[in-house]
Amino acid sequence: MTSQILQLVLGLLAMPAIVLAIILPGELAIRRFPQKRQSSLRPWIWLSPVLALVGLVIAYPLAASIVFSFRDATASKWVGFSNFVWAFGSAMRPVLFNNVLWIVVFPLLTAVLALSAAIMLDRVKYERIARTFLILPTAMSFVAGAVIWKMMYTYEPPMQPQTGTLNAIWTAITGRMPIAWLIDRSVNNYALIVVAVWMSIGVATLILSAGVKNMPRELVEAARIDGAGEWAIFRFVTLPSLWPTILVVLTTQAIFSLKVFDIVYVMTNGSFGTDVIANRMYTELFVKQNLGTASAIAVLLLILASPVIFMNIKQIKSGGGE
Amino acid sequence: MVLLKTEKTSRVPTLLSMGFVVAMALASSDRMVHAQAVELPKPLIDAAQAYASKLTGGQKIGGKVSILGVNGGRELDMLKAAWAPFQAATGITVDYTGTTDFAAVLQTRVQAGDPPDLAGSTNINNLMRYAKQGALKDIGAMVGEAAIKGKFDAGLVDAASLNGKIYGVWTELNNFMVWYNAHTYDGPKDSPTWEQFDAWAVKRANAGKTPWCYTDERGASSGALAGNWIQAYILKNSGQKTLKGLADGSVSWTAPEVKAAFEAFGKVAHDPKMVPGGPVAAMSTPAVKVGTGLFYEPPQCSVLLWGTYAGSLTTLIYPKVKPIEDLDFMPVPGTPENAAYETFGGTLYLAFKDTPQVKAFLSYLVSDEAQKLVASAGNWTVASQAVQPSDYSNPVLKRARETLLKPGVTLVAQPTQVVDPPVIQALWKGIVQYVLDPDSLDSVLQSIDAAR
Amino acid sequence: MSAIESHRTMSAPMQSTSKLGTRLKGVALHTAVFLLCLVWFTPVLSLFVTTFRSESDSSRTGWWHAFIEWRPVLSNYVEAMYLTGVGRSVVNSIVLTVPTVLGTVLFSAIGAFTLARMRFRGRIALFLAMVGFQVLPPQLVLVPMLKFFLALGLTGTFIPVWIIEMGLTVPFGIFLLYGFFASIPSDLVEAARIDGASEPRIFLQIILPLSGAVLASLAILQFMIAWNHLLIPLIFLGSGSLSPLTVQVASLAQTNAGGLNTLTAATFISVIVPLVLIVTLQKYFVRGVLGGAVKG
Repeated sequence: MTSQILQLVLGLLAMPAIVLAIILPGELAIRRFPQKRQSSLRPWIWLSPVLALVGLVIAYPLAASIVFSFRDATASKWVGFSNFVWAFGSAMRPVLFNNVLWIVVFPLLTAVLALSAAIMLDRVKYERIARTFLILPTAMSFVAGAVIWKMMYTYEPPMQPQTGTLNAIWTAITGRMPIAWLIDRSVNNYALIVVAVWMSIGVATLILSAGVKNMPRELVEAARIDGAGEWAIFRFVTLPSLWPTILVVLTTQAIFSLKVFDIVYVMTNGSFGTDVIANRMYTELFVKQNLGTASAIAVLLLILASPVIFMNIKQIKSGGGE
Repeated sequence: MVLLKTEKTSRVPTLLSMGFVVAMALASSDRMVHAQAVELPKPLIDAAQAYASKLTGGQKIGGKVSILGVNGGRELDMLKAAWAPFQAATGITVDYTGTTDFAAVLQTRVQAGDPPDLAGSTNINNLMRYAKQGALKDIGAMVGEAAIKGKFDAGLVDAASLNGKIYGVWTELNNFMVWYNAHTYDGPKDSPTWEQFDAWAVKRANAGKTPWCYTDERGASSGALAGNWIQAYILKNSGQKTLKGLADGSVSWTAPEVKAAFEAFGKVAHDPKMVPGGPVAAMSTPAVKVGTGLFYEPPQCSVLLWGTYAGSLTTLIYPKVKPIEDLDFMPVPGTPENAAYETFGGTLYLAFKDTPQVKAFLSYLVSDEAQKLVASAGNWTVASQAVQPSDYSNPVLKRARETLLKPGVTLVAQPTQVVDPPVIQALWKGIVQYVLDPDSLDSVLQSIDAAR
Repeated sequence: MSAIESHRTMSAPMQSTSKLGTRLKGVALHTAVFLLCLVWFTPVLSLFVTTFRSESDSSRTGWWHAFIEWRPVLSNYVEAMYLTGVGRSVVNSIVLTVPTVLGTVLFSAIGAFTLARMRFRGRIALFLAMVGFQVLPPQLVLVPMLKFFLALGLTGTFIPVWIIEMGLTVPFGIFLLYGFFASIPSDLVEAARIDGASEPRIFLQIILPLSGAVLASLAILQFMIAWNHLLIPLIFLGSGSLSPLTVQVASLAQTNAGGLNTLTAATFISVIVPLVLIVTLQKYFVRGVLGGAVKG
């Protein structure tokens, strides 16, 4: 136990210490240079700890994956583009449609709900409790989420008492047959998306709440005094000033949709027409043990994400302080 | 104003969680409910400790054995209790990591050059793969073949050998059998053929009572229960040759006898008169609840085919149900010439390192003393034949040792223990598809073959 | 806030009909918030209720039957606390998450500050790379990282876990903070600069204090991620004496060990610490910090 506490203290001290140890001497060192030289050197001094971290944990494995995608299952010899021929061929096509569904439905649903929540919560006095309710699902692990939602979606045969929450409500209200939420192909992908929305709203609301709290209040006040209605205020004041934040949420959720894995893996493992790209990658990596094809799928993900990435180019170009 | 408001409201959840913690603390001090450590019989513990101390010449050599396995919760607690005498006698720490992501973690660690000392694998495929890669140590040489051969079923030793070397030792075992509610099952019990057994099921189904319990939802391993079902059927009706052929690839999954097994299973799974709720309910109800229908009021089904653990899972849900008396089992029905063969599941220990600690631990694992200790936990049958029926206190295990593990019975590995993971995944996913779509059988069988 | 509301009510020319309209709007607002919370909380409630039910009850009837026939048991919690070794594993979880959260917020803030407040060549490319990096499936990071930390002899400590968890989230963190930092009015920064403030001072005394809410969001998010991650601690710390609570909880989800309700109880135990954090950090969600700064 003492070793754990020691490591905790070490970690807490090391994080700021590393940053200070790089930035402060760096700042002192460049002080001798002329102003112009200073401002061209400074960003790299500041960025160096970040680049080292991200370079090690992400850029290096990513680069390795790109190399591996041109090599065979055990990365022992070059195979040219054959992994990509496989990945872009018929193997992945059936699952691509599901990811398209995810990428259309999930970010929109999450953003709309989270935005409504952030705006509404800002106006009620029990804001903190309400927001805690919304974040609570995020505090649960995927294992727990799966347990919960299997209880929600439980299907008992018609005429039996329903032990699943949704089917109990559904049969009581409509008097119709219970629905096998995770099996019925007309609803099961949506059923999985609902789980993801349930787990993601909390953080999206937090981020949008942070945006709402930072909104220049004078604008809203001025609009209100001018007699603008709620909808007009939302449409012409709130939405434009929150747009960068909404874009952050949309981008993040779109990327999540592309690489969605845990929910599908634990709930259906891709059966009944619910398979997705990342689940395929997991299969290639850990079931078929083929590093080449798994890496090719990772590259495919990166390519599919490029529109999402470039969606943000406007923000960076217009942004930037001085 | 702002501050006042926020302080008031923020207190509620804090108080709630504080109350929760206090309630938990109270709960843990409540004498009515007790989470007690697993306690094994003292004489067995002493014997095991005496044996373990001989392994290191009476010295506490210390050090560590790291194990990667699949056990957790209560089961792991029982195993730890069985290893405690070893730790006490030798001073060696047994560091067990149990995870359902066993395959992914093991593969990652082996690839990175950081394997655990030992892996407790539930399949033979890992043994074959890592032995061929040269990653495994020869356990026969480490603990002496005499400690294994003759004491363990020849089929078990065989299954854990490659090129004449023993690369694994079996410890905990389980069998597959037909469980039934002793009060509602009125069919043949004395080693019936499948036809006789099936005739009972059809008769009962026609009388409006669903005979079979079958539920098979288990996330990534949905369809696994049916996989056991079908493999047990093949062994008992088509024989060990077919099963071994499926394992080594000499028999195709599209072979008529394999297709017949799928169809026998399909006859049960597809028919709402045979299985409560029919296929959709079966595929959306957790596999661990497969025995729930047996003692539902009124009972929804009378028989099920699954492993030894189905007994304890059912009594967990129905604490009042007594094993054997209310919940009994018989070998899987089949032709008489296959009666002396049984399928099995279990844990197979593989060694990635050869250290004095690993050697001592493996010697301990295969010893009569340690095996008896594991048997006394009441959760598994064990592989060593030195453990007699009388060494089991759990009546179900005793019965299993007397009938399914008796001398003369040959244990045959299921293909799903031997074949590569993609084939297993194709089988499980194929079963899921077949259960919901009876017409897909041919394409399902082809897809399993294609995964080879 | 209520002061502002009353000010608004007084200043706007009001008639009795619009007063009714305001009240109706208020009712609609509260109803909507209530419904949202209800829908979001029901699944949690179902799990929470299940933790107090016996295995035999919960496998035969829906969780709401607990309200019809109330016979709670505490055995699930007792068992869960015993099996997860709750005291030790909570400490491990905290040792794992707290430095991770601190590091993530710090590194993300520095990265976002540089990208948002300094002009330099490669800025756009770096920003887009941060967005793209989020796509990499974490499973592909495992083998290279294990090799790396093995070579350094750091496996079996928390250091690799901190670094990997930070590395996986920092690109998102930079992406998230960027927009907030960029929206801080330049006059503020310029004014400080004219007063002779150095860049570190601007970062620490202007940018960070004005971004409380979004920094808290990032902290909460990373806390949840690190608290709930399974594979990374499993590989680097095992499930022995160093393992965090989530690894212990997940080990209860074994296939044939039965006892799902022990798992649900363990889940609730594992939620307590994040819950306290969520509640505590919410004090940063106060309206108009930035607005006030702009005015001043």
